[in-house]
Amino acid sequence: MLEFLRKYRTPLTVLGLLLTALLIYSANLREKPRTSAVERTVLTAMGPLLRGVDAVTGSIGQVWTRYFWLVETARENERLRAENRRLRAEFKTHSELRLANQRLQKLLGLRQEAGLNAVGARVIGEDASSLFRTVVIDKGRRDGLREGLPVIVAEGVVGRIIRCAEREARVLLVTDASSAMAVLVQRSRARAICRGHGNGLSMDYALLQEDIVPGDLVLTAGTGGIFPKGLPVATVLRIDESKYGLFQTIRLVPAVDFSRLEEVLVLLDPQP
Amino acid sequence: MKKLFWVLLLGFLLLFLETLPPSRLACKPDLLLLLVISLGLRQTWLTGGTAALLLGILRDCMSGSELGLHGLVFLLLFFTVRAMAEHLNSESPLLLVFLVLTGTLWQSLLLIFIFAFLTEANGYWALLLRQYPLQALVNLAATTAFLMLVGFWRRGRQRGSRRPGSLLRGRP
Repeated sequence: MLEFLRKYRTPLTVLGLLLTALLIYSANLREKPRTSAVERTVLTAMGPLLRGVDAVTGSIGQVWTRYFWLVETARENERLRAENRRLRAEFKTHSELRLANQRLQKLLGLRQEAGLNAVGARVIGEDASSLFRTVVIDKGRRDGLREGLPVIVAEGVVGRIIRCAEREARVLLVTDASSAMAVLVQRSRARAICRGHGNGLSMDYALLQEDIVPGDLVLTAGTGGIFPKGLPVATVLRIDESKYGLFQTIRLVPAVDFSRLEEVLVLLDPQP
Repeated sequence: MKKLFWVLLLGFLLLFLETLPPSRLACKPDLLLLLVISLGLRQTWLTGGTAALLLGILRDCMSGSELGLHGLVFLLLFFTVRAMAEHLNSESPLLLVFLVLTGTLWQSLLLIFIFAFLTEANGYWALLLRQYPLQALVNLAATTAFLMLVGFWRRGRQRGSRRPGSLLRGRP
Protein backbone atom coordinates (compact mmCIF):
# COMPACT_ATOMS: atom_id res chain seq x y z
CA MET A 1 0.00 0.00 0.00
CA LEU A 2 2.76 2.39 1.05
CA GLU A 3 4.69 1.47 -2.05
CA PHE A 4 1.64 2.25 -4.19
CA LEU A 5 1.15 5.62 -2.49
CA ARG A 6 4.82 6.49 -2.96
CA LYS A 7 4.79 5.44 -6.60
CA TYR A 8 1.66 7.38 -7.53
CA ARG A 9 2.13 10.28 -5.13
CA THR A 10 1.85 13.04 -7.75
CA PRO A 11 -1.23 11.73 -9.60
CA LEU A 12 -2.92 11.01 -6.27
CA THR A 13 -2.14 14.55 -5.01
CA VAL A 14 -3.54 16.05 -8.22
CA LEU A 15 -6.65 13.89 -8.03
CA GLY A 16 -7.20 14.57 -4.33
CA LEU A 17 -6.87 18.34 -4.71
CA LEU A 18 -9.12 18.40 -7.78
CA LEU A 19 -11.80 16.38 -6.00
CA THR A 20 -11.58 18.69 -2.99
CA ALA A 21 -11.95 21.77 -5.21
CA LEU A 22 -14.93 20.24 -7.04
CA LEU A 23 -16.59 19.21 -3.78
CA ILE A 24 -16.20 22.69 -2.28
CA TYR A 25 -17.59 24.28 -5.43
CA SER A 26 -20.55 21.94 -5.83
CA ALA A 27 -21.40 22.11 -2.11
CA ASN A 28 -21.46 25.89 -2.33
CA LEU A 29 -23.64 25.88 -5.46
CA ARG A 30 -26.30 24.03 -3.48
CA GLU A 31 -26.14 26.46 -0.55
CA LYS A 32 -25.65 29.63 -2.56
CA PRO A 33 -27.59 32.21 -0.52
CA ARG A 34 -25.77 31.40 2.72
CA THR A 35 -22.56 33.01 3.93
CA SER A 36 -20.08 30.30 4.96
CA ALA A 37 -17.79 30.56 8.00
CA VAL A 38 -14.75 31.01 5.72
CA GLU A 39 -16.37 33.90 3.86
CA ARG A 40 -17.50 35.50 7.13
CA THR A 41 -13.96 35.24 8.56
CA VAL A 42 -12.25 36.74 5.48
CA LEU A 43 -14.83 39.54 5.23
CA THR A 44 -14.45 40.30 8.94
CA ALA A 45 -10.64 40.33 8.64
CA MET A 46 -10.76 42.54 5.55
CA GLY A 47 -13.29 45.01 7.03
CA PRO A 48 -10.99 46.93 9.42
CA LEU A 49 -8.30 47.21 6.72
CA LEU A 50 -10.77 48.62 4.20
CA ARG A 51 -12.21 51.00 6.81
CA GLY A 52 -8.68 52.10 7.68
CA VAL A 53 -7.82 52.82 4.06
CA ASP A 54 -11.11 54.68 3.67
CA ALA A 55 -10.25 56.88 6.65
CA VAL A 56 -6.59 57.34 5.62
CA THR A 57 -7.42 58.32 2.03
CA GLY A 58 -9.83 60.93 3.43
CA SER A 59 -7.13 62.31 5.76
CA ILE A 60 -4.47 62.28 3.04
CA GLY A 61 -6.85 64.21 0.80
CA GLN A 62 -7.22 66.83 3.51
CA VAL A 63 -3.46 66.97 4.17
CA TRP A 64 -2.87 67.33 0.45
CA THR A 65 -5.27 70.22 0.04
CA ARG A 66 -4.32 72.01 3.26
CA TYR A 67 -0.64 71.32 4.05
CA PHE A 68 1.13 70.78 0.74
CA TRP A 69 -0.76 73.55 -0.90
CA LEU A 70 0.28 75.94 1.86
CA VAL A 71 3.94 74.85 1.57
CA GLU A 72 3.89 75.67 -2.11
CA THR A 73 2.37 79.08 -1.51
CA ALA A 74 4.90 79.82 1.25
CA ARG A 75 7.65 79.24 -1.32
CA GLU A 76 6.10 81.84 -3.54
CA ASN A 77 6.11 84.18 -0.57
CA GLU A 78 2.83 85.81 -1.43
CA ARG A 79 0.92 86.03 1.76
CA LEU A 80 -2.33 87.23 0.35
CA ARG A 81 -2.33 84.65 -2.37
CA ALA A 82 -1.69 81.94 0.18
CA GLU A 83 -4.53 83.21 2.30
CA ASN A 84 -6.78 83.18 -0.73
CA ARG A 85 -5.78 79.64 -1.55
CA ARG A 86 -6.27 78.46 2.01
CA LEU A 87 -9.76 79.90 1.97
CA ARG A 88 -10.40 78.21 -1.34
CA ALA A 89 -9.17 74.89 0.04
CA GLU A 90 -11.50 75.28 2.99
CA PHE A 91 -14.30 76.16 0.64
CA LYS A 92 -13.58 73.00 -1.30
CA THR A 93 -13.66 70.97 1.90
CA HIS A 94 -16.95 72.61 2.82
CA SER A 95 -18.27 71.98 -0.67
CA GLU A 96 -17.37 68.31 -0.24
CA LEU A 97 -19.19 68.27 3.09
CA ARG A 98 -22.15 70.08 1.53
CA LEU A 99 -22.28 67.53 -1.30
CA ALA A 100 -22.08 64.63 1.16
CA ASN A 101 -24.84 66.32 3.17
CA GLN A 102 -26.97 66.68 0.05
CA ARG A 103 -26.51 63.03 -0.83
CA LEU A 104 -27.37 61.88 2.69
CA GLN A 105 -30.40 64.18 2.82
CA LYS A 106 -31.56 62.73 -0.47
CA LEU A 107 -31.27 59.22 0.98
CA LEU A 108 -33.02 60.29 4.17
CA GLY A 109 -35.76 61.96 2.15
CA LEU A 110 -36.28 58.82 0.14
CA ARG A 111 -36.45 56.76 3.32
CA GLN A 112 -39.00 59.09 4.91
CA GLU A 113 -41.11 59.57 1.77
CA ALA A 114 -41.47 55.88 1.11
CA GLY A 115 -41.78 55.01 4.79
CA LEU A 116 -39.01 52.47 4.38
CA ASN A 117 -37.31 50.72 7.24
CA ALA A 118 -33.75 51.08 6.05
CA VAL A 119 -30.14 51.28 7.20
CA GLY A 120 -27.63 53.66 5.61
CA ALA A 121 -24.19 52.25 4.78
CA ARG A 122 -20.92 53.39 3.22
CA VAL A 123 -19.20 51.62 0.34
CA ILE A 124 -15.71 50.68 1.59
CA GLY A 125 -14.44 48.27 -1.04
CA GLU A 126 -15.09 46.71 -4.38
CA ASP A 127 -14.82 43.30 -6.02
CA ALA A 128 -11.36 41.74 -6.10
CA SER A 129 -11.62 40.91 -9.81
CA SER A 130 -12.61 42.87 -12.88
CA LEU A 131 -15.14 40.24 -13.92
CA PHE A 132 -17.73 40.50 -11.16
CA ARG A 133 -19.61 43.57 -9.97
CA THR A 134 -19.84 43.55 -6.19
CA VAL A 135 -19.07 46.11 -3.49
CA VAL A 136 -18.34 45.85 0.24
CA ILE A 137 -20.40 47.98 2.66
CA ASP A 138 -19.60 48.83 6.27
CA LYS A 139 -22.76 47.37 7.85
CA GLY A 140 -23.53 43.74 8.65
CA ARG A 141 -25.56 41.36 10.77
CA ARG A 142 -25.08 43.56 13.84
CA ASP A 143 -27.12 46.25 12.06
CA GLY A 144 -29.89 43.86 11.08
CA LEU A 145 -28.61 43.01 7.59
CA ARG A 146 -28.88 39.55 6.04
CA GLU A 147 -28.46 37.88 2.64
CA GLY A 148 -31.05 38.80 0.03
CA LEU A 149 -31.92 42.29 1.27
CA PRO A 150 -32.23 44.96 -1.45
CA VAL A 151 -29.82 47.89 -1.63
CA ILE A 152 -30.85 51.21 -3.17
CA VAL A 153 -29.84 54.87 -3.50
CA ALA A 154 -32.00 57.90 -4.20
CA GLU A 155 -31.51 57.45 -7.97
CA GLY A 156 -32.63 53.82 -8.02
CA VAL A 157 -31.78 50.18 -7.46
CA VAL A 158 -28.18 49.20 -6.61
CA GLY A 159 -28.33 45.45 -5.95
CA ARG A 160 -28.83 42.88 -3.20
CA ILE A 161 -26.77 41.52 -0.34
CA ILE A 162 -25.14 38.20 -1.14
CA ARG A 163 -22.73 37.74 1.78
CA CYS A 164 -23.05 39.10 5.28
CA ALA A 165 -20.53 39.16 8.17
CA GLU A 166 -20.98 40.83 11.58
CA ARG A 167 -19.93 44.33 10.51
CA GLU A 168 -19.53 44.05 6.72
CA ALA A 169 -21.61 42.82 3.83
CA ARG A 170 -21.08 42.23 0.11
CA VAL A 171 -23.60 43.56 -2.39
CA LEU A 172 -24.12 42.05 -5.85
CA LEU A 173 -24.78 44.98 -8.18
CA VAL A 174 -27.58 44.79 -10.71
CA THR A 175 -24.98 45.22 -13.45
CA ASP A 176 -23.28 41.89 -12.61
CA ALA A 177 -23.71 39.31 -15.36
CA SER A 178 -25.40 36.88 -12.95
CA SER A 179 -27.94 39.47 -11.82
CA ALA A 180 -31.53 39.41 -13.11
CA MET A 181 -34.80 40.93 -11.89
CA ALA A 182 -38.40 41.44 -13.00
CA VAL A 183 -39.08 44.95 -14.31
CA LEU A 184 -41.85 46.93 -15.97
CA VAL A 185 -41.90 49.97 -18.22
CA GLN A 186 -43.52 52.90 -16.41
CA ARG A 187 -45.43 54.32 -19.40
CA SER A 188 -46.78 51.17 -21.06
CA ARG A 189 -46.61 48.75 -18.08
CA ALA A 190 -44.83 46.21 -20.32
CA ARG A 191 -43.12 43.52 -18.28
CA ALA A 192 -39.70 41.97 -18.88
CA ILE A 193 -36.52 40.67 -17.25
CA CYS A 194 -33.61 43.03 -16.67
CA ARG A 195 -30.12 41.50 -16.80
CA GLY A 196 -26.68 42.85 -16.01
CA HIS A 197 -23.89 43.01 -18.58
CA GLY A 198 -20.92 44.16 -16.56
CA ASN A 199 -21.19 47.86 -17.24
CA GLY A 200 -24.75 48.16 -18.49
CA LEU A 201 -28.15 46.53 -18.41
CA SER A 202 -30.43 44.91 -20.93
CA MET A 203 -34.11 44.02 -20.93
CA ASP A 204 -35.00 40.56 -22.23
CA TYR A 205 -38.29 38.76 -22.90
CA ALA A 206 -40.25 41.91 -23.76
CA LEU A 207 -42.78 40.79 -26.39
CA LEU A 208 -42.44 42.30 -29.88
CA GLN A 209 -45.88 43.89 -29.73
CA GLU A 210 -45.11 45.70 -26.45
CA ASP A 211 -45.00 49.49 -26.73
CA ILE A 212 -41.49 50.50 -25.61
CA VAL A 213 -39.57 53.51 -26.90
CA PRO A 214 -36.16 55.02 -26.10
CA GLY A 215 -36.35 57.25 -23.04
CA ASP A 216 -38.94 55.11 -21.22
CA LEU A 217 -38.33 54.70 -17.51
CA VAL A 218 -37.93 51.10 -16.30
CA LEU A 219 -39.04 50.26 -12.74
CA THR A 220 -38.88 47.19 -10.52
CA ALA A 221 -41.96 44.99 -10.97
CA GLY A 222 -41.97 43.82 -7.35
CA THR A 223 -42.54 40.20 -8.34
CA GLY A 224 -39.13 38.71 -7.61
CA GLY A 225 -39.55 38.84 -3.85
CA ILE A 226 -36.47 41.02 -3.35
CA PHE A 227 -37.10 44.55 -4.60
CA PRO A 228 -40.23 46.54 -3.72
CA LYS A 229 -42.38 47.62 -6.66
CA GLY A 230 -41.75 50.94 -8.39
CA LEU A 231 -38.06 51.63 -7.77
CA PRO A 232 -36.25 53.19 -10.77
CA VAL A 233 -33.86 50.77 -12.48
CA ALA A 234 -32.88 52.33 -15.80
CA THR A 235 -33.91 54.25 -18.89
CA VAL A 236 -34.41 52.67 -22.32
CA LEU A 237 -31.49 53.52 -24.62
CA ARG A 238 -31.94 51.41 -27.75
CA ILE A 239 -34.29 48.71 -29.02
CA ASP A 240 -33.11 45.81 -31.21
CA GLU A 241 -36.17 44.27 -32.79
CA SER A 242 -35.68 40.83 -34.28
CA LYS A 243 -37.70 40.19 -37.45
CA TYR A 244 -38.32 36.53 -36.69
CA GLY A 245 -38.13 36.28 -32.91
CA LEU A 246 -40.87 36.69 -30.34
CA PHE A 247 -39.06 39.21 -28.20
CA GLN A 248 -37.27 42.52 -28.51
CA THR A 249 -33.89 43.07 -26.88
CA ILE A 250 -33.54 46.42 -25.22
CA ARG A 251 -30.37 48.17 -24.06
CA LEU A 252 -30.76 50.22 -20.88
CA VAL A 253 -28.84 52.99 -19.15
CA PRO A 254 -28.74 52.29 -15.40
CA ALA A 255 -30.38 54.92 -13.21
CA VAL A 256 -27.45 54.72 -10.80
CA ASP A 257 -23.88 55.76 -11.62
CA PHE A 258 -22.08 52.75 -10.15
CA SER A 259 -18.64 54.30 -10.51
CA ARG A 260 -19.63 56.97 -8.00
CA LEU A 261 -21.32 54.86 -5.39
CA GLU A 262 -20.53 56.16 -1.90
CA GLU A 263 -23.51 55.82 0.44
CA VAL A 264 -26.37 53.36 0.05
CA LEU A 265 -29.57 52.32 1.82
CA VAL A 266 -30.29 48.72 2.71
CA LEU A 267 -34.03 48.03 2.95
CA LEU A 268 -34.69 45.92 6.03
CA ASP A 269 -38.35 45.11 5.39
CA PRO A 270 -38.86 45.25 1.66
CA GLN A 271 -42.56 45.22 0.79
CA PRO A 272 -42.94 43.69 -2.65
CA MET B 1 3.19 24.40 6.53
CA LYS B 2 5.18 27.53 7.31
CA LYS B 3 5.62 28.20 3.59
CA LEU B 4 1.89 27.77 3.05
CA PHE B 5 1.16 30.27 5.81
CA TRP B 6 3.43 32.92 4.27
CA VAL B 7 1.97 32.37 0.81
CA LEU B 8 -1.55 32.77 2.19
CA LEU B 9 -0.56 35.90 4.10
CA LEU B 10 0.92 37.37 0.92
CA GLY B 11 -2.25 36.33 -0.91
CA PHE B 12 -4.39 38.10 1.69
CA LEU B 13 -2.35 41.30 1.25
CA LEU B 14 -2.63 41.11 -2.54
CA LEU B 15 -6.36 40.50 -2.22
CA PHE B 16 -6.62 43.55 0.01
CA LEU B 17 -4.87 45.62 -2.67
CA GLU B 18 -7.35 44.34 -5.23
CA THR B 19 -10.38 45.31 -3.13
CA LEU B 20 -9.31 48.86 -2.31
CA PRO B 21 -12.09 51.46 -2.50
CA PRO B 22 -13.87 51.98 -5.82
CA SER B 23 -11.61 53.13 -8.59
CA ARG B 24 -12.36 54.38 -12.09
CA LEU B 25 -10.23 51.60 -13.61
CA ALA B 26 -11.98 49.50 -16.23
CA CYS B 27 -9.69 46.60 -15.39
CA LYS B 28 -7.53 45.85 -12.38
CA PRO B 29 -4.35 43.75 -12.25
CA ASP B 30 -4.91 40.13 -11.27
CA LEU B 31 -2.21 39.94 -8.62
CA LEU B 32 -3.28 36.52 -7.31
CA LEU B 33 -2.92 35.07 -10.81
CA LEU B 34 0.68 36.27 -10.84
CA LEU B 35 1.24 34.60 -7.46
CA VAL B 36 -0.29 31.30 -8.61
CA ILE B 37 1.88 31.27 -11.74
CA SER B 38 4.97 31.96 -9.63
CA LEU B 39 3.97 29.06 -7.35
CA GLY B 40 3.63 26.82 -10.38
CA LEU B 41 7.23 27.56 -11.36
CA ARG B 42 8.74 26.94 -7.94
CA GLN B 43 6.58 24.86 -5.63
CA THR B 44 5.85 21.14 -5.30
CA TRP B 45 2.57 19.62 -6.42
CA LEU B 46 1.23 19.27 -2.89
CA THR B 47 2.32 22.57 -1.32
CA GLY B 48 1.72 24.66 -4.44
CA GLY B 49 -1.56 22.93 -5.24
CA THR B 50 -2.91 23.42 -1.72
CA ALA B 51 -1.76 27.05 -1.77
CA ALA B 52 -3.41 27.65 -5.17
CA LEU B 53 -6.69 26.11 -3.98
CA LEU B 54 -6.69 28.17 -0.78
CA LEU B 55 -5.74 31.37 -2.65
CA GLY B 56 -8.67 30.78 -4.98
CA ILE B 57 -11.04 30.31 -2.06
CA LEU B 58 -9.64 33.48 -0.52
CA ARG B 59 -10.38 35.32 -3.77
CA ASP B 60 -13.93 33.91 -3.84
CA CYS B 61 -14.57 35.39 -0.40
CA MET B 62 -14.12 38.87 -1.89
CA SER B 63 -15.21 38.34 -5.47
CA GLY B 64 -18.31 37.08 -7.24
CA SER B 65 -20.94 34.98 -5.56
CA GLU B 66 -19.66 31.41 -5.92
CA LEU B 67 -17.29 30.05 -3.29
CA GLY B 68 -14.86 27.57 -4.83
CA LEU B 69 -14.98 28.95 -8.38
CA HIS B 70 -11.53 30.53 -8.30
CA GLY B 71 -10.33 27.69 -6.09
CA LEU B 72 -10.96 25.30 -8.96
CA VAL B 73 -9.63 27.70 -11.62
CA PHE B 74 -6.41 28.53 -9.74
CA LEU B 75 -5.81 24.84 -9.02
CA LEU B 76 -6.14 23.93 -12.71
CA LEU B 77 -3.93 26.88 -13.62
CA PHE B 78 -1.30 25.78 -11.10
CA PHE B 79 -1.34 22.19 -12.42
CA THR B 80 -0.88 23.44 -15.98
CA VAL B 81 2.11 25.63 -15.09
CA ARG B 82 3.58 22.97 -12.78
CA ALA B 83 3.36 20.33 -15.52
CA MET B 84 5.33 22.57 -17.87
CA ALA B 85 7.74 24.02 -15.30
CA GLU B 86 10.28 21.18 -15.49
CA HIS B 87 10.81 21.82 -19.21
CA LEU B 88 11.22 25.59 -18.84
CA ASN B 89 13.85 27.97 -17.56
CA SER B 90 12.01 29.23 -14.50
CA GLU B 91 14.63 31.95 -13.86
CA SER B 92 13.88 33.78 -17.11
CA PRO B 93 11.88 36.99 -16.58
CA LEU B 94 10.50 36.73 -20.10
CA LEU B 95 8.99 33.37 -19.23
CA LEU B 96 6.95 34.94 -16.44
CA VAL B 97 5.68 37.60 -18.86
CA PHE B 98 4.70 34.92 -21.37
CA LEU B 99 3.07 32.77 -18.71
CA VAL B 100 1.06 35.69 -17.38
CA LEU B 101 -0.26 36.44 -20.88
CA THR B 102 -1.20 32.84 -21.57
CA GLY B 103 -2.32 32.32 -17.97
CA THR B 104 -4.81 35.18 -18.29
CA LEU B 105 -6.22 33.58 -21.42
CA TRP B 106 -6.28 30.11 -19.84
CA GLN B 107 -8.04 31.50 -16.76
CA SER B 108 -10.68 33.17 -18.97
CA LEU B 109 -11.24 29.92 -20.90
CA LEU B 110 -11.55 27.90 -17.70
CA LEU B 111 -14.06 30.39 -16.33
CA ILE B 112 -16.08 30.27 -19.56
CA PHE B 113 -16.07 26.46 -19.42
CA ILE B 114 -17.19 26.39 -15.79
CA PHE B 115 -19.89 29.02 -16.33
CA ALA B 116 -21.14 27.19 -19.40
CA PHE B 117 -21.21 23.66 -18.01
CA LEU B 118 -21.40 23.82 -14.23
CA THR B 119 -23.52 26.89 -13.41
CA GLU B 120 -26.52 28.75 -14.72
CA ALA B 121 -24.71 32.11 -14.98
CA ASN B 122 -24.23 32.33 -18.75
CA GLY B 123 -23.75 36.05 -19.23
CA TYR B 124 -20.09 36.13 -18.26
CA TRP B 125 -18.52 34.66 -21.39
CA ALA B 126 -19.07 37.78 -23.50
CA LEU B 127 -17.69 39.94 -20.72
CA LEU B 128 -14.63 37.69 -20.34
CA LEU B 129 -13.85 37.71 -24.04
CA ARG B 130 -14.38 41.47 -24.31
CA GLN B 131 -12.17 42.12 -21.31
CA TYR B 132 -9.33 39.76 -22.21
CA PRO B 133 -7.08 42.15 -24.21
CA LEU B 134 -7.27 44.89 -21.58
CA GLN B 135 -6.92 42.41 -18.71
CA ALA B 136 -3.86 40.84 -20.35
CA LEU B 137 -2.32 44.28 -20.84
CA VAL B 138 -2.96 45.30 -17.23
CA ASN B 139 -1.56 41.99 -15.95
CA LEU B 140 1.47 42.48 -18.17
CA ALA B 141 2.06 45.92 -16.66
CA ALA B 142 1.76 44.44 -13.15
CA THR B 143 4.24 41.68 -14.05
CA THR B 144 6.71 44.22 -15.44
CA ALA B 145 6.41 46.27 -12.26
CA PHE B 146 6.93 43.11 -10.18
CA LEU B 147 10.02 42.10 -12.18
CA MET B 148 11.45 45.62 -11.82
CA LEU B 149 10.92 45.48 -8.06
CA VAL B 150 12.64 42.09 -7.88
CA GLY B 151 15.51 43.50 -9.98
CA PHE B 152 15.96 46.51 -7.64
CA TRP B 153 15.84 44.25 -4.60
CA ARG B 154 18.46 41.88 -6.03
CA ARG B 155 20.77 44.73 -7.04
CA GLY B 156 20.37 46.25 -3.56
CA ARG B 157 21.33 42.94 -1.97
CA GLN B 158 24.36 42.56 -4.22
CA ARG B 159 25.53 46.10 -3.39
CA GLY B 160 25.03 45.36 0.31
CA SER B 161 27.11 42.20 0.09
CA ARG B 162 30.02 44.04 -1.58
CA ARG B 163 30.16 46.77 1.12
CA PRO B 164 33.15 46.35 3.54
CA GLY B 165 32.08 44.88 6.84
CA SER B 166 28.77 43.72 5.44
CA LEU B 167 27.37 40.58 7.03
CA LEU B 168 26.39 39.31 3.62
CA ARG B 169 29.95 39.64 2.30
CA GLY B 170 31.36 36.51 0.80
CA ARG B 171 28.02 34.77 0.58
CA PRO B 172 26.89 33.57 -2.83
